[in-house]
This record gives sequence, C-alpha cells and structure tokens, in this order.
Amino acid sequence: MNVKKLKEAVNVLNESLDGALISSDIWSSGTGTAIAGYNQNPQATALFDKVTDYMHKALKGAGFPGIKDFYLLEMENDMMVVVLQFKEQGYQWGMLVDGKKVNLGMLLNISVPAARKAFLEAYND
Amino acid sequence: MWNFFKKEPKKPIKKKPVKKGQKKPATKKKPASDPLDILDRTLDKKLNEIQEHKIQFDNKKQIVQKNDKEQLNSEKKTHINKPADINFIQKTQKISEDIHISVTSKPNKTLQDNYTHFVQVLSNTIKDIEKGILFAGVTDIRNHQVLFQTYTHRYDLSIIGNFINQYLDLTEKQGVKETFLLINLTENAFLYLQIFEQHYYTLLLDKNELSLGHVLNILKPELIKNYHKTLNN
Repeated sequence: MNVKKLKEAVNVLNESLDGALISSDIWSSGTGTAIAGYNQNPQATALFDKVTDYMHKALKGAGFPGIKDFYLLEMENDMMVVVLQFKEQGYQWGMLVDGKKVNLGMLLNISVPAARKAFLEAYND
Repeated sequence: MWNFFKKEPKKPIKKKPVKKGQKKPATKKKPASDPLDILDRTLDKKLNEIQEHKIQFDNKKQIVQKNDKEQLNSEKKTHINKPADINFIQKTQKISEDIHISVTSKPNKTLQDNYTHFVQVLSNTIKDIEKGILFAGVTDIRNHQVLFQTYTHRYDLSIIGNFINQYLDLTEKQGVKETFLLINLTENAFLYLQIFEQHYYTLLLDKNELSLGHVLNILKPELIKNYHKTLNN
C-alpha cells in the first residue's frame, strides 16, 4: 500500500467533485480506523464501519444478495453518503457529498470510478 | 445276414394333384449357383437387417424421449421447490396479482384498510416498472411488523428492520423524516429502502430492467408522492 498515492487518490476525488466533497475517509474494515482522508471525521468512520457490518449481516440474514461495491445514503439537506467497498483488499471508502453541488450521475459514473481506480493503484503499489 | 449297404430301388414319387385356389407347394429352391437368386437372397437379408435396426432404433428413441421427459418434469419440480435465490424469482408473475393475494389473504380485517393503502402506494408506483421489481415489502418502522410483502419471494424483513433500527440509533437520526438507502448488490440487483417517518418500503430491483437514474429520478419521487397522498387521504 502506497499511502502517498492513497492521499493523491483522495485529491483526485476532491477535484472531480469540484467542491461538493465535504468529508472523506478511507479505512480498514473491522477496525474503523482511517488511513487517509479529506476533512476527516473519525466518528463517522467508526460509525459507518459498524453500519456496513450491520448491513452485511442483515442482508445475509434476510436472504438478500450481498453488497457488491457501494451503498448510498440520502441524508438531510440534500447530503449524500457513499461508501465504496473494497472487499478483497479489506478497505472501505466513505464520502459525504453535497447533493446540491454535484449530481448523482457525475458522482457515481465519473468521480467514483476514478477514485476506485486511484485507490487500487495505490493499494497495489 | 442283412446287407446294410444294399440300396433299395427308388420308388417314383407321386405328385399330389393341385386343387383350384390351393397354393402350389413350395418349389425347391434353385441351386445356390443361380446369380439372380443369390442377389435376391442377399437383398432380402439386408432388408431384414435394416428393418431390425430400424425397430431397435425406434425403441431406443422412445426410451430416450421418455427419459428426457421424466428429467424435464423432475427439473421443473426442482425449480419450483428451489429455495431463496433471486435467480429463481418468478419475474413473470405480476406484482398486482401478488398484491391482491396478499391483501385478501390477511385475516385481520381491521388492518385491511391499512394494507390496502400501503399496497396501493406500491401498486401506483410500480405499475410502469413492474418488470424491474423483484420484490417489494412494506414495514412499520415502530415495531418492524411487516405489513405487506410480495409473494414472488419471501425475505426475512424483520432482519432488515433490525438493521434499520440500529442504523437510526447509530446515526442519531430518529428525528429524520424521510431518507433512502440504496445498496448495490451482487447478482445484478439494487436494494432500495425508502424510509418514512412511520413505515419503510423495501424494494429489490433488477438492474437489467432499471438504471440507477430510473430508480432515483422516477421510482423514488413517485413512491414518496404516492405515500404522502395515501397517508393524507
């Protein structure tokens, strides 16, 4: 894992969202501790690590298929939380985004794939 | 002493007279040396062989067809009895029919109106995108009682309810009135949870039929609109 490249990956995300990114954290699943981020929020990191865990268990218990690569939450005031899953690598990347400043298409089809690619490059380096 | 080797003179064989309409007795076959006869017999033999092969082939064919039919029936039975897996969801089954069954099969008539209302919300929302809905359910957020779920497939929504509870506790969002949760699932599906103040809708959506834009720009506003409309009525 190249941490410097990982920080660059966060910058890639921030730039592509053009001011819509409020906070972002990359953390290892299970520990809830961040290794890189922007305007970091350790409480949110721990919280969403737990949320993902609950979600996995709930989906499995209910008989639904498992999480593939992300989940999306709509918050108050047009805020959105996207949590990317890197199951094989054992990491998650959460981001709080202002929905008024970026549309979902831009977020999910351009920014997220670019961020995902940058993360994997940093991880494999 | 008897002479065993002494030949007795041959007696002339009398031919029986042939009556009218009676078949002539079989004439002795010509000697094998007749080329036409040899050819004739060879052809007869070959024809018999071919017929025998044909009979054998027909018998085998019948057996194979029978086996195939039995296997197909058995597969059909297995398919019907197959447990939880979205690949086996009967997509062709109409949600509206499910809804009807669900509503009418509820024994508690006092709750019937509620069911009808919430099912109506769903029915109004998904009528244009029925194909993309693999599963739909409505749950009371306070006690996680499942008010309705489609009969296409049964999922344990109480577990989803527990998760929502924990999610609301964790995020300290009990005061939140409306939100949604969209999970990109494996097997080419989305799980869409539309959370209202009193209820939440769980929808399992087919990504082959519905895009994310479709879900968030058409389904979501429509569901919210129909819900409030029904609630206010």
